[in-house]
Amino acid sequence: MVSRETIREKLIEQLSETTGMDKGEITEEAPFHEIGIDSLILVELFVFIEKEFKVDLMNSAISHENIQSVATLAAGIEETLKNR
Amino acid sequence: MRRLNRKSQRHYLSGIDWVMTALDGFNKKKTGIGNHSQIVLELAGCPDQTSFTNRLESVLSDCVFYKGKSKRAWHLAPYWRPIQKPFSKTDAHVEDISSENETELERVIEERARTPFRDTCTMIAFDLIRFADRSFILFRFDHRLLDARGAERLLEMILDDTGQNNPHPSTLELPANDARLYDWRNRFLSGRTINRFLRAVYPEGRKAACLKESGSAGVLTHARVRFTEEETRRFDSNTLKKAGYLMGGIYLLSSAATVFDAFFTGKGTPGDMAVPVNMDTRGRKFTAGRIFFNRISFLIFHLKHGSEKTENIRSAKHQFVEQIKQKIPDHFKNATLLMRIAPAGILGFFMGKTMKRHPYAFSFSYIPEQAFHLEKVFGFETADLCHMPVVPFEPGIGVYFTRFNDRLNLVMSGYSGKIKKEDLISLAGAVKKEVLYG
Repeated sequence: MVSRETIREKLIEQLSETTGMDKGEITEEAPFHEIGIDSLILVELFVFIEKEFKVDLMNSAISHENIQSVATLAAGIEETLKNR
Repeated sequence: MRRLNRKSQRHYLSGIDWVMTALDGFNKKKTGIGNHSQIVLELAGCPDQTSFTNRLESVLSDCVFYKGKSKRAWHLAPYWRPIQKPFSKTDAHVEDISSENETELERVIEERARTPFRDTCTMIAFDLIRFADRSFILFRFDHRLLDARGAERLLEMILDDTGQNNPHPSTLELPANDARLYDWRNRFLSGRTINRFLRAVYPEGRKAACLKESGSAGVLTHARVRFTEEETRRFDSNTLKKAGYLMGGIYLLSSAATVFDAFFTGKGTPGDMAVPVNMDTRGRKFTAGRIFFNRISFLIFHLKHGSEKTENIRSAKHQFVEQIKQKIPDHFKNATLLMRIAPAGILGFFMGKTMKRHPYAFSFSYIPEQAFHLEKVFGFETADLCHMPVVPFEPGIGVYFTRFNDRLNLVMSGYSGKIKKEDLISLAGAVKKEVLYG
């Protein structure tokens, strides 16, 4: 079982890679739009999540509220993995 | 004067740049207007003519982007050749509108949006339109050199007389870019992927619901519709509820598709729709070196005739994820490099042949994040900004959304020979209604 901390780290690593931002700039609690994440980067993150955690966000129980920041997204992914 | 375009500093054009050049030629042949666009920047005050023209003259007199043209090297790869000429005040037109009629203002702004450049080498032109206690800076730019967000950023630099946040435009260099005459195997594989993708995404028989063929292009017309801040908040709320977080583009596309489906049905040309969508590929890395040339790629959406809006949203979201998964925007960029083998005129001819089969229903773009950030220009507050592109002759109608200072703007562009101005205005109103209440 992947821990929430590991999920957070992987999400931040991926975002840092796609946006060119330093990992330190990606605040876990900040809404994505406030740190300059657009729909394209978000969808690239969805694709990464599907590949890395085998979670299809488009067809999972994760709600819109879960897809707002690294922290909420990590919590949603962890919850989905637990309920498998 | 700086020496320009040493061989080692050449900017070889990307495949997307070359497609834009071909489209420019194709559009000029059909309509007399090239592939250009116009930014409309509204100020809450009226700068005087001298400040305006002096500013332009001081920043553009020794710059590398005022004029230029594409050339081809011995190995056929096209590159950009800047032409250094002093800025001509005739490229800065100033007009005072004495009437207080908003219709007259719209007419003048529209007239300027369809005005061709002075010659084929001129890449930018400016207008200052003064109307009552407001004014409008119109910035026309050629898509051979600038895409929409690059143009916004350049305009900010040109108008920033404080010099605090931006380098002086005369210090800007065109980025050097190699010819990329390697990795052919990957380019061909990308070409194959794109061919398969297009076969799958085009409606059956490659014929989309579209405007009827017309002998003449007529005149390029625009319809501008603004959203208030409250209406924009409503759009945000609808997006979140119906399409999801950060899915504004998908929501707007689905709303427009729902309206267009009914429109084409009413005109007797119903059918599935294919819609090309431009997307900025700069991400957050918007440095001065990324201002010039086209940093965009494409997604193409297939939207079924007779679908409800919720179905359009579901389908468009699914296609968005799948196309990113398949790296379609990257493949477009890669595959179009192959097209540089053909001269722009011949490429334009083949594009015209494809377009004759009407594969696309309408063009669409949404710029959710502005690249122009000046709060004041010539001491006056910036009140609004929107884009008025020249839509390509095929499909002949385009829907363009811009967001500026928490307000959404919609501009629709079409040719009077293909769609009447009244229809364009009523379509724009219907799209707005669908975005807010549909």
